[in-house]
Amino acid sequence: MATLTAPAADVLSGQHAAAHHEEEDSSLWSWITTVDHKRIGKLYLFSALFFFGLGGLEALVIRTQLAFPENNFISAQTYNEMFTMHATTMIFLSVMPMSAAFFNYLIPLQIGARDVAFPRVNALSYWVFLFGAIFINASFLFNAFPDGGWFGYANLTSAKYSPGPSIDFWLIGLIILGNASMMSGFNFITTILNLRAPGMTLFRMPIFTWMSLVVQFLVVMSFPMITVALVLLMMDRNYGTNFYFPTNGGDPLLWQHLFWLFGHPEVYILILPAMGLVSEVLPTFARKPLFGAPFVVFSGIMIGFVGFGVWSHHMFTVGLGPVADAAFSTTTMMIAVPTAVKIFNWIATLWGGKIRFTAANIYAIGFVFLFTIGGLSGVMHASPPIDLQQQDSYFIVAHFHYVLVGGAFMGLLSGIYFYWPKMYGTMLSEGLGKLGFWTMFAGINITFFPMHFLGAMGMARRTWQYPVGAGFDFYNLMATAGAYLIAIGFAMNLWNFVKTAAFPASAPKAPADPWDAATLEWSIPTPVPHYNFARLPTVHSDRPFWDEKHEGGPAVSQAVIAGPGPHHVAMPPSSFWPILVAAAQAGLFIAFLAGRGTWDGAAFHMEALKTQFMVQVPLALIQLFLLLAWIREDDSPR
Amino acid sequence: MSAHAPAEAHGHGTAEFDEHHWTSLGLDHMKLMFWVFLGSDCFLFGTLIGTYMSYRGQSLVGPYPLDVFSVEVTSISTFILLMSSLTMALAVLFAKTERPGASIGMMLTTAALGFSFVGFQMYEFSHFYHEGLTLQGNLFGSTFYTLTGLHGTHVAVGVLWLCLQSLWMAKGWIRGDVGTSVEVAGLYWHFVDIVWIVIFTLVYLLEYVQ
Amino acid sequence: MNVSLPRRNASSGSLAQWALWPASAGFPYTTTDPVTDFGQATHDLYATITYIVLVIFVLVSALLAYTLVAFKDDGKPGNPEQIHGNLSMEIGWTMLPVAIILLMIVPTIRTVFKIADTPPIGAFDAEGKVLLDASGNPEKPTVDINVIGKRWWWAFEYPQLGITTGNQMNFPVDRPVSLYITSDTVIHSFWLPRVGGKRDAVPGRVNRIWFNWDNAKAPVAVGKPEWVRGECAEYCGEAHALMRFETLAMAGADFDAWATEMKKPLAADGDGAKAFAEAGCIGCHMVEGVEGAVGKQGPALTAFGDRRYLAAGVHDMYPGGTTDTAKAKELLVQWITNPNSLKPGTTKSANPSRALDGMNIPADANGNGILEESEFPKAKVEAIADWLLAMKTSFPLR
Repeated sequence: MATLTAPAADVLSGQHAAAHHEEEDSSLWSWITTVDHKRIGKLYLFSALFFFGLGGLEALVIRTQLAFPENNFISAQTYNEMFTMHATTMIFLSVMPMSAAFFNYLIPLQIGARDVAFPRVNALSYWVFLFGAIFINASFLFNAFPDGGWFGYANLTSAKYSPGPSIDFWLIGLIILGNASMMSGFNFITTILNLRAPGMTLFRMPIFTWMSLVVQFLVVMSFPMITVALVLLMMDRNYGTNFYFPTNGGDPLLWQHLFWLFGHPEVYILILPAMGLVSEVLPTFARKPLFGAPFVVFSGIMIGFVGFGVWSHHMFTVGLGPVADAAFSTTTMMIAVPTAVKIFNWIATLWGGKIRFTAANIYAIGFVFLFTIGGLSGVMHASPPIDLQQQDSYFIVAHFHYVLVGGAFMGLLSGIYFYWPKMYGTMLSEGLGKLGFWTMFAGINITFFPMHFLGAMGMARRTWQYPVGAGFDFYNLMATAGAYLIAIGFAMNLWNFVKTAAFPASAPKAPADPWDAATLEWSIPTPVPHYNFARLPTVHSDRPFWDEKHEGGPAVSQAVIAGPGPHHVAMPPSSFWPILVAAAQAGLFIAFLAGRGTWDGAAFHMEALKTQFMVQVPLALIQLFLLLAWIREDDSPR
Repeated sequence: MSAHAPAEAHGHGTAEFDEHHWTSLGLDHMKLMFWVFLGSDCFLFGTLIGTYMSYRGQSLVGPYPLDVFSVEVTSISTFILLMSSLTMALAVLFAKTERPGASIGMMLTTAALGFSFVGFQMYEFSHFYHEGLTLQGNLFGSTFYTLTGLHGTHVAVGVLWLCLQSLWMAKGWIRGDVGTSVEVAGLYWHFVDIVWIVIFTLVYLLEYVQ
Repeated sequence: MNVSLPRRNASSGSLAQWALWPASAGFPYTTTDPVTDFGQATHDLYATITYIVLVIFVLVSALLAYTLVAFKDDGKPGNPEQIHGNLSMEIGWTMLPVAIILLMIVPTIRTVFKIADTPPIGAFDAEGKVLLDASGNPEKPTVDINVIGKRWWWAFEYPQLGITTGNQMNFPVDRPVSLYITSDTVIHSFWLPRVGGKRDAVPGRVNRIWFNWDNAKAPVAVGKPEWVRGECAEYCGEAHALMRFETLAMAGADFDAWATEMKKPLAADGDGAKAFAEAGCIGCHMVEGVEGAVGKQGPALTAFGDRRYLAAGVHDMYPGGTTDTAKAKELLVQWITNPNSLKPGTTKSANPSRALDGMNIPADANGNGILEESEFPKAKVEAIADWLLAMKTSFPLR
């Protein structure tokens, strides 16, 4: 048992003086009741990887159907369900939670905090997300897999044109998932603004934390809008209102406006975390600081907030008039400016560096290359006349898959390879990672590049079959082959993660700072203690750990300021209230399903509403009781 | 960021630096989080107000707003809600000056005023319903009930909150600073009041212009 | 499976065709082979922006590739120079994209307003002056067509001519054509890629596009029409993929003759006509000159014998352009007795929870969406098919 250095003992006074070595409790109960941001991060990570696999399977079903013209591998109905759930799964159940995994794991470590501001709310967010994700997929068991597209355009989603419960599953699921995202948004904004270590001013924050901050603001601003849109849709479907139905003066375009007011910021919610991760990885492996860091930050903020002013570029074909088209075209193209600034800064970071081609770094470089392609094709359909030809064609499919698979997902994989040693204390296989990269990189280009041609050849999106003789055959077959290649590449990565996580003994042990990185999260021991920082460091620059190691700067690493050996730092106790509150909250929303049939197009059926209330009122009371118990629980650190 | 100053100046290990109550902005977590929540709630109301305004005058059939509105009654309930902001402000003041009894009294008064506002709204809804304004009948009904209904729900939640806050204070169950916890409840209450002023202006008063 | 390599069109000249060569002319739905002024205006802009974007892509990729090769870790000890940034470079690469965007936004906005112009009232000369006849009316007035999106087919109404067609839109090449696009079901999107960009068919709204055929690019002469294929581009439910349509660009004289013929009763009397009425088809299908056949629920069937494709551009009734009606009859009988087997989601009973407004097979009591012999004799179905296929103008679309 090591002796504490004098200042460390000073800080730890009042705690258990003879600190005991805390065994990591790995029981299931400890995971269910955990409020530790690192564990919640891992839960998000593996949930997201699972759903990525599920969404990927849906993609393979889609691509198999499209391998040949007039194919009948699946029915039209199944196809529509597949593309709806593929998008919903990838966006809400895969990329967002995978980003959330990094928010959870990294933000407290990067800003020098011991946990997030509200650890129990953090656990609650995860459980609500998980229940929402399970619920939306459980529709499969009721033969009600959502089939309205992830964009759920009114009035196709109205009770008249989608009478079954599938759309209700979808919209209630999205409301639940949105709730989870908003709760973690409030939590992380508070955490980032309020829990930075002494001396860590806003512009000394790591770029990933910055991008996360922007994303959380986008979440708390945009999700209320989709929530309202979804509630209005639910009222239209089940309570007989006419918000989106033209028969009573309503306008189906209201849905499109509300959806894309959320939907476009959502695009940046998906991509900015990956941009943040890449901004951590590239400088580390170039052994240089991020070039023009403040500009990268400002461009991220610009992307985020101009993103609220471009939604109508999804609606150039609906006929908003030339003035609106010209205005939204201009704002949309302007988003290319901060995006270009980011790309140039990343290249300038690599320029003059000593680039190490680790797995994490090649994923990051792949991100820069593929995202550039997706960004440039995006500029093309920012021009309304061109968009009239490209909208709802495979050109758009090519564009956003370059941005989301080549961009967001590659960036997140880069993050996994980069941070895995810190998260799990073991090194991933670099060879398997690189093989996975090249397989996926080839697969992405083979799949999505021909889609530009398919779009230009006039192949519409969301089509179950395409005709013989339209010339779509070859590129579709090519895209299908590429999709299987992506699947193989992903399987390699997944095997790498699962194997290393399940059999840590088989992998080399990770040192605390395997990449010679610059920021606080690398200055703490691996495995990371429950309390992260035995002592909070004082930060004097934006690269505190690098400065300590290479520039003779003031010490921030725990090895120096807190000394070696076990510590006990008071931490919030684990709690089982979050999962219970989450279950009650999800149940409260799911109970809206019981209100289906309240309105039959002419009259109100009170029985249906009564059934709904008979489920919801007790659930609301239980929820209230749980919340009171939550408030009464003593969560002060101990 | 004045909160940095002592830490920067003295470093660690000094008595001024309390790791467990350190906040970078010097603001209580709950208060900061609540400001962000209210910002988010603005978007919730903003979306519904936007929907109401874009559908204003688009109803194909009646009843139209002026057929059902009674601005006198709504003005009284508006006045009651505004008065409740005054009592809420007093409750915060008393809590901050460590007069918990007076603070509880003011909070319960606020809750009572809020409750009567909800009562007025329920009266108004049932009156409108009997005038023929239903949720399904026309766009005005759909947008009106959704918007004011959401606001009424906010007030009702506020009433429940203030009652529980009073109970918690009376029992001495509040951990941390009592003044801050009352202040956060006050933030919510004032926000709900301000939203009502916007709704009252755009939904009711605007109909009487021209 | 029939997998054919796309053909490359050697004659394609424009930059966009070069950049997107696999998508060049020769394909029925291609966006890079415009045949109207509307399509050409879009295409010129498309070409410009494609070129700019490709140049940027090549330069950025080259820069990235060079950086990766030139600054690979050489294994020597020591850190590279720690450069934190450079203000003038930041300003430079902020202004550079702004300049490039200005280069793109100016022609964009010009084109946006150009294609949004109000259509002229008739054919015009090179100076844009509308040609007038002696009485001061347009010599060749603009043809208005109302396009209505259905589930899952298209209705075309010619209000000036009093004609209605289904899934087939004929138009003249010697005068402007103005389309008024709407829907009475869900949102669809009307897309004729070679004519120009798509416009959504939104219930409760009317969108307009108009165009002039470019006879220099796609010569159309009397007796030599040109066909252009279209599709629905907005997801509209189960059979969205199978909601296509045909248009026929005709010489002015041909179009006028066709319009006149369409107003005359083309349908013969006889068993087919009787069975058509008996089965209740007339409740939903309009046929010019057939008493009681005024329904608008289903596509108008006037001059059905003109059409090449069945079920909204899905099934080729005359493969290879044959004039033999054997295949057509076989398909039509199958379509009448078991429509869901040719196009999913078509019948009400096929999937009652999902397709509400599909084809309602008459007297169908079994609930499986199949019209069986016991419900309606096969012989009568064949009579209907023969009758429909024989009903044509002098301008069959083959």
